[in-house]
Amino acid sequence: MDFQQETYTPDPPCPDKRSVGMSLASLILGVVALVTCSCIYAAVICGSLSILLALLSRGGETSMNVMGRTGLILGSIGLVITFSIYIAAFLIMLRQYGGIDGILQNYMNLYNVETIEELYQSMGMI
Amino acid sequence: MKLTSKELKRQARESLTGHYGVPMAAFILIQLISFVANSPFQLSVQSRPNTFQIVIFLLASAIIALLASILHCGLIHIHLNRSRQKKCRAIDIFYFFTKRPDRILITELMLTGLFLVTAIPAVGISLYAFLMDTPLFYLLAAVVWLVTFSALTILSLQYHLTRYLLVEQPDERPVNIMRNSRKLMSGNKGRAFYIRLSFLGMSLLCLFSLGIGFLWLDPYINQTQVKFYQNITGEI
Repeated sequence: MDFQQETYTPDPPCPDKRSVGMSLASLILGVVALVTCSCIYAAVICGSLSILLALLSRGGETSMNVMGRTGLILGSIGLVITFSIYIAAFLIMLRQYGGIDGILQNYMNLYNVETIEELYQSMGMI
Repeated sequence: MKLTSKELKRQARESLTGHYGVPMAAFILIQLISFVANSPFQLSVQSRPNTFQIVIFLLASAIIALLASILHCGLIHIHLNRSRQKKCRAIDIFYFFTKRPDRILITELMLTGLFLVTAIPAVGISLYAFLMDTPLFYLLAAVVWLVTFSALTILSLQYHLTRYLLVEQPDERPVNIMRNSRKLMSGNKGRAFYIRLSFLGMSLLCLFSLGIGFLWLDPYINQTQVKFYQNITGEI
């Protein structure tokens, strides 16, 4: 019996069409968003950018790599927590001052003004 | 073969990965030029403008928008080169200022005229409702505006490929460009509308990021639209 030895040459691996830089940026921004979600606006900017960059990091593929997925999750959590803090703060203010009118009245007392127009002027809105 | 929106976006991302720089720079340049050109006129209408100032502001805005359309054709030229893996530079946004810009201006004027004529009934009814000041006429104006928005959306979809054809067919007359756009978009308006809507979520994220996200999103949207054009013309 004569066995022919076949040499097997494996195919070269498919090049990864994802963007490593974008997925790394997404991860970093996601971490920043989560850490700063108690600050006023940083988490919203970082969280939004983290989600956007994670989605774009897919490149020519249809799925994200591990870094991109982690950045997406962290950015989303940071955004959700920040918006929850905004909504909770607004509801607490409404409850404390008895509505939007009460909040405006409080601001008017703070700025020592008597009308809404004077309040807007002192805040530089007109 | 009609490619799905998902596939068009995948191909757009593939074209842009590692090459966001030039489209981003082109986007920033266009925004800067428009901002600098509009600023003096916007400042003039900040505090209690008179009628003359308002008219000058509106005229200036219209002329600047018209000239900006030439820059947008340059941007499409950049994205087409990017899609075909040819060399492109941010300065190519000025490409069509030396390549018969009159065609672009005439086409934009014709399209603007068409949209204005479509909106005339709605504007007329709104003015009449404002004069009559009755709920019935306000309701009628609202209904007419709804119908007008639908008509304007369909028109904008019909002539969606006009700028791409202006870039790709330098010898065609504006009337033929518009006719070709209508022909190519026949049976593809729904896809184009869906692609536009599919970017709403990402646009919202960019608004939350105070506009920083548009540096990446604008090239992505433009490249996807280019892939859509290439799919309709049979190039991909």
